[in-house]
Amino acid sequence: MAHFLKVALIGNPNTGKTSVFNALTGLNQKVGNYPGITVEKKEGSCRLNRTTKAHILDLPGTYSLNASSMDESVVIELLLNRNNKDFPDVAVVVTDVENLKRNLLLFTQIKDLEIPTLLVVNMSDQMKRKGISIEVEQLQADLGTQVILTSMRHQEGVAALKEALVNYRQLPTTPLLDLETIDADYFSRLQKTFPTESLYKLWLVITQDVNFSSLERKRIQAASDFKVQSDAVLKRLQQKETIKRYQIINQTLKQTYQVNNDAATDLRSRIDRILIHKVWGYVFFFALLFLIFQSIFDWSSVPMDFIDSSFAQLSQWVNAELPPGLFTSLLAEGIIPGLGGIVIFIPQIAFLFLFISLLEESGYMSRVVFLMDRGLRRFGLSGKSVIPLISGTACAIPAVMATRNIENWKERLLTILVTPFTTCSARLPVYLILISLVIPERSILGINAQGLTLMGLYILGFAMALLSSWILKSYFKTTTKSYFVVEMPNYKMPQLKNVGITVLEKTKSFVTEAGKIILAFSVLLWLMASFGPGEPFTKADTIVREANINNPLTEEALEAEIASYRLEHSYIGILGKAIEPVIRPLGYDWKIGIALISSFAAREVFVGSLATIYSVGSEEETPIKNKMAQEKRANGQVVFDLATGISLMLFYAFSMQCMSTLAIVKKETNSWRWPLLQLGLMTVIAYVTAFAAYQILS
Amino acid sequence: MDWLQVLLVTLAAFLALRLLYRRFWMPSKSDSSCGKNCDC
Repeated sequence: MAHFLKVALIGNPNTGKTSVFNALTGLNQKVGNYPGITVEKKEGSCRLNRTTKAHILDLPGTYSLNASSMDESVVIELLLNRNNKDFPDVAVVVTDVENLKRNLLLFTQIKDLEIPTLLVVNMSDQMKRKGISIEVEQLQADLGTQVILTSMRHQEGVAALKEALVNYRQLPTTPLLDLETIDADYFSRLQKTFPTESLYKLWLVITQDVNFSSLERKRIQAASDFKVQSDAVLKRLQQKETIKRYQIINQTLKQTYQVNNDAATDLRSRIDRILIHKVWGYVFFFALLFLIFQSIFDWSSVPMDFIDSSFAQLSQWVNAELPPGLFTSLLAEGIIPGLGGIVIFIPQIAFLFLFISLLEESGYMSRVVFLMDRGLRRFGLSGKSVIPLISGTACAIPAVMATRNIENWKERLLTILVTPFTTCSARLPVYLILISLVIPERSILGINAQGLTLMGLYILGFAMALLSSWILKSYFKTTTKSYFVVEMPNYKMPQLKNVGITVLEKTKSFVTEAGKIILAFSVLLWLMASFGPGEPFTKADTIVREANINNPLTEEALEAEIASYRLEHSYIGILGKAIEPVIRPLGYDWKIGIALISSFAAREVFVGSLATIYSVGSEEETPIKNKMAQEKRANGQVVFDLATGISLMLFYAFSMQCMSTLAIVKKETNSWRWPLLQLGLMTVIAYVTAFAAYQILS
Repeated sequence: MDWLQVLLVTLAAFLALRLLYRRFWMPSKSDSSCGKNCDC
């Protein structure tokens, strides 16, 4: 009578596990459900040789034995329970040759359960095309198992796998990881309390919500001489376990697994060879950035002009059609210009996120992360700092939160401190309006000068982040080394639906999140500009007329003079005047001062504030850009000339004008020390560079 | 109709102040400051 062997196929999703299952069982398979849950149970049988048959169970795909889904729980419950009728005699871990490192984490965990475990390296037909070579004998010795290379596409390795299954008793079952190296005290006490149990099984029962028949979680907790640890301590030990496992895997693969990209022949490798090349990779990346910023300016100019003039007309209509009064003024001079300051940036923000999501969807963004990693280490940052720095182009808040996956605290702190230098989307409106005012709209050799300036500002943000990190790194000396692992997805055509959703979500979030603040500030600024203390404000009309009694001015010029006098003596005017001595060396007048103060809460408020200030008391409704261009100093020079424009752009590039970012840095560092240091340093850098720029250019 | 205009302006000012207060002084009770997709 044939001997029946119970085999469990285990592996990460997408490793070709089901193909191995099909190759072994053919048509002898049935699909059901695990009792009580909807997880699919696939089992089948096959003949291994004349005397041995195998019952094969294809377990759901899982990344590790730390259960986070029902599928993964099924795998753990089975492997921990020897009394389960499906408990395997031998486990077969199926891995994908391209992602061996990630796949081996699960292998080391299963091996440590002291079950005889075979390692199948599948898709071996890809090795030549991908330039991969494996030292099989060395890998077998290091992992304490038998390694079988298979290719289900070419039906290779099936016979070898069957033979290895028959001889499963020869597989060593010694664990790969000595748990006492994680925490000697904790694990030795655990083992002493339950001397007959496998230590890794005990550990899994403690950390996972599963039981196995001979030992229940409650019994461990009830053991009087064993102290139960808090969830936080257990989590930390679990993290240490994963790091230790990856150290073992890295060490093993360093000796046994080589990827020679130059020998690879597939299309993806050929494209990668250029895109992550140490010279061409950067050339391509910067050329692409250049194209993107050119297009943002070129394509969005028409809709922006349309929006700008529509809002000016709307203000005019409100003024003409609604009954005159306080609220009508608030609508025409506060709310509508404030709203215009939000809506006008929709085309450019939508185009920017369109390009960013196209890069992400196509798989190119991972190459950028990889490319940049090489250079970043020199600046004291981790390879993982790339993600916060790149996502900082959208918003510094999620970017600061994305630093959580940097294990090394000092590298993480450094990344948090420098991330707000990257050009976030809130800076974009400020840059766009200033560039269109001070940079001429002309092409040099077909290159749009405005697009070039915008690209320069993005690069400047990154450069300042790197420079300050390089300076700060000597104060934060790191002693531990960190590893950087990034999985390169295959290139693919971006899905229009995904791209569309990203663009819509991001634009909507700008309009609703930033828009609400801009609008609220516009209302308050209008109030502060429309009221003032004492006679200079209330009797502005009489004062100005008396002062000009001998000065023949047209009624129109006189009205403008009165409006300007009134604004100067309003509450906001007094505030702006108070800070004018500090900002005058930067080339700013008190009106820009007001916009600076209000944008310390959030920088996107700048344009809306100026729109409101310039609209108050003004009879003609012209687009904000024209109003800014017409604004003159006392000596008749335009306010927004090249020197002031550049000085303002530099100020906004480097200063920390975002209360929400400060709040999130406080939350992430759990101290006011770091956000205050960040605020102080960034303000000083912004002031000094803006001062230098203005003094040199004027 | 002047009283209506003043009332509306007062209401707008109140709403603006309330929004800024909830956003910057009580951030935990308001909607988060970044996009919908992050879990802050």
